[in-house]
Amino acid sequence: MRQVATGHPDAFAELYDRNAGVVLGFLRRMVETRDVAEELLQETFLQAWDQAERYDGNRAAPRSWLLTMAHSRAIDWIRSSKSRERRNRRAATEGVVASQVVDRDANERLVDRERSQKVRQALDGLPEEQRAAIELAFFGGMTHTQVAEALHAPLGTVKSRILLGFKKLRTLLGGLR
Amino acid sequence: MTTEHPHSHRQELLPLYALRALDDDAREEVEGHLRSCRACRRELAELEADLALLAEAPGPETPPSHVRRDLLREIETRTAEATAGIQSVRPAQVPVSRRRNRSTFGGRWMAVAAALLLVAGGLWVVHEIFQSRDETDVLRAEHDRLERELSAAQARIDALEEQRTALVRELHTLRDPSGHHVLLAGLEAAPEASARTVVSSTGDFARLYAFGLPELPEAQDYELWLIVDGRPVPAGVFDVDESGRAEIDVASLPPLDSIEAWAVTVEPAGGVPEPTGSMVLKG
Repeated sequence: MRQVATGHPDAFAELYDRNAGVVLGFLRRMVETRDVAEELLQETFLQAWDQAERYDGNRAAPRSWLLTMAHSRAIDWIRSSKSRERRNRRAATEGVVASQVVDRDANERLVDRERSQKVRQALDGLPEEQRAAIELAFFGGMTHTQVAEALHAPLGTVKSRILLGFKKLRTLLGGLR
Repeated sequence: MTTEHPHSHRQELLPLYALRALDDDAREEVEGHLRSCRACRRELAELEADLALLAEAPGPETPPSHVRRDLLREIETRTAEATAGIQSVRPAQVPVSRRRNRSTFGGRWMAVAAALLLVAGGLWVVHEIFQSRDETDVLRAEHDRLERELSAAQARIDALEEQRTALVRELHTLRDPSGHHVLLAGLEAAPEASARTVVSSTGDFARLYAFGLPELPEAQDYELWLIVDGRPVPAGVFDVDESGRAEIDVASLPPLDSIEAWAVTVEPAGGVPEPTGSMVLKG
């Protein structure tokens, strides 16, 4: 990351190669349509390039940092109503376009897939109502009020489900951190 | 006011804050608290790490190769512009793919229109319609981006404004000659330590400045206690920087004459409702 901060394109390319797949997978889950996810992927990495000097290695791993930025960008996108209109319009017209697969390191991909499977297992280990509340807020980009509406549950209940879910998740995710 | 809720309440809001699931008022309250509470900042970093792991649940997807190519080209341009001392005049932030589409489609329509013009001038109108649609898309994207930047800038201004209010309050507290001060002395466990609390003239807010406290392992935090009616009341959890210093705000202070003493103990990370560890400061 230090090399990215000092403007090394090679270091940036490596950062991209190691993390773009995971970031794109996450963005696809949040915004659904491929072209928006790819746009947000580009924006996330451009933000990383621009803000690499501010990256604090004591606070987060590079991948965490990238995913946190991607999350913010996706939420901004989801909450912008104009974008939502456009997203829907595009979703209706988007055809199936095979992405050009450039598999740079099959082993690395495999490790990423195994990690993702373990995270899903951890999520599945949560009681259903806690998992649903956390997933709607996190992947759905909803506010706690929207989550409460979606689940037909009182606001206080949703808050405590999220809190309890988080506590349990940390234990369940323990081995992966 | 951010002084209405105790530390524990804000700590409970942290997961929702990390999820960006709070409404504006609650979000601002948490942001205000984060600026003065290192323990909560650390917890937020932990929560963000949890969420980043959660973000890996969907699994990787291979991006199309043009995304990588476009990105590398873009940073090359930015580097060249920076080197040449040119302020990048903004096509930069428009997502590369959108600009790509624009030029491809725009160019194609331009060529088609030119040909059509030669054949039948009337069809030129058709081209214009498509061209303007394309432009509209680009302008809308730009508009969306500017809107996002504007709201981010507004959020920064709000945060700075809140920070300013907090600093002014702190300055007034420190300058107030009638303000109440308490000195805390280091005990056997930390003989080098000392602390000073400054209470605002309104009596409802205090700040503790601690010095010379040893850094603690990850699993431990310092916890501040107010001894009221002979019983310890938790008043906040904190850790110290490399030089052994810390500042901690105590909001919703009980009446000053009811506080018999101030004390700091070493506790498990995150703090406990009743003191369990050794006392390092008292006064």
